[in-house]
Amino acid sequence: MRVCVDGGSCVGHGRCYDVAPALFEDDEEGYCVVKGDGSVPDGQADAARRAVALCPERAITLAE
Amino acid sequence: MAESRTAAYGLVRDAGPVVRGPRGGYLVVSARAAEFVLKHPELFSSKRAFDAVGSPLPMVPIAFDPPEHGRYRRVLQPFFSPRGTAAWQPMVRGLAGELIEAFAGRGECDLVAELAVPLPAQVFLTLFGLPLEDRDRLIAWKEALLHNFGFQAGEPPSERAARVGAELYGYLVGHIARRRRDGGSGDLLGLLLADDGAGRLSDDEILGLSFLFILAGLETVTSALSTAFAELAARPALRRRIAADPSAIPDAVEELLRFDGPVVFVPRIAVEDVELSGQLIPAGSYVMVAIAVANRDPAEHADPDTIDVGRPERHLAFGGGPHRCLGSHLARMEMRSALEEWHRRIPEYQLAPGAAPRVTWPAGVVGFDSLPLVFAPASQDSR
Repeated sequence: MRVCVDGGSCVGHGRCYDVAPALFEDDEEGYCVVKGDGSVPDGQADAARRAVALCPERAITLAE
Repeated sequence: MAESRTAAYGLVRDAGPVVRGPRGGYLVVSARAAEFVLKHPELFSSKRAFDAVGSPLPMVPIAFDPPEHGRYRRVLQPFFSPRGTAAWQPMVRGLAGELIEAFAGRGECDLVAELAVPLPAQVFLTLFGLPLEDRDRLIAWKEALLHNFGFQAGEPPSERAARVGAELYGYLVGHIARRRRDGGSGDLLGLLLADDGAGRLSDDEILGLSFLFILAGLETVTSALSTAFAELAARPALRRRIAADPSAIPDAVEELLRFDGPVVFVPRIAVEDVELSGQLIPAGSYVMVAIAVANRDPAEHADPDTIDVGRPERHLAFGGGPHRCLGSHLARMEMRSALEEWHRRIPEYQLAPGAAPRVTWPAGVVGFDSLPLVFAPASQDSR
């Protein structure tokens, strides 16, 4: 499972790194940066799905 | 509306995804249509919708559309990002704590007058290096302007809005000029004035931003705190949960903003003829995106009229698209800090007997003018 962020859609709501800090982090301006290669480690699948569901811009996708 | 947003929003929601509003405007109600409008600034302009506020200068960045708008956001976002606002968190927490300490031993307070109004005003004054003694003057200007703005957006500013706007403008111009001359650091204004990056803001642009901050960043936080505390006072299980576990506060804040957020509409002007959810919106139409109603859309929210902290659903309380509320991270931090500082000292409280708070409507934002709460007086050592 892997998360991916569409940088063109992200406007920096910051919901993803708030609820899934193991998978996402913020840059200086508050935009989302995927940590590492986006692989979702064991135990983080629910956090990943939550980040997808909470993003107001629908900028995050999850490849199973 | 005054007694129950649930009933009022339900009526609007049932009227259809996009409905004709009063005076030729259109009301965008469904979450899907609201999201579409917010994400298409090339079709729905923010710039033209903000002419009625009485600001003598265009409000930075809301009164601009892409691509101009992007420059302002790039310059401002570092100051308003989670990293940027984290620097102010101890200050905000300290101000909230002081305000709460002032009444915690008394066993009763007016949540609005004693916490929700002064907190965001003092945060603004501190961030702009203004003296706290100016608090009540600032609040009076803000109230005069907002009272006039409200649902009359889309019309030219009234004489009164223009006069109050000019007074506030004079106050801010004087302050920014003084700071430019005398220097000063340690606050947001110092950072903005010291910025020497390629896109740095001019003094006029800093003024436009200050104006927006006062109009958009004070009453919204005040109103959101007032409705949040009203909901919590009426819900023993929820307030006990967050008093026992402050880590639940961020999710509680999100859900309270979705359920009864302060901003009911965000205005736009249609740039060309657009068909939206089967409704033709002619070019030039005034379009109100009813984000508070969209946040109760059953297509997006299971059981939308129920508070369910932690629900896995997006909400539009801070808007969306390129004009997403610039101050959202500061607002969240103010709300989280206020709730944490309060519940640490006052875990158990209720609406004062006989009080029946009502919201003022129509208005620019929705919140209570007064919220009398009662609680067991907190002793010094429990604080």
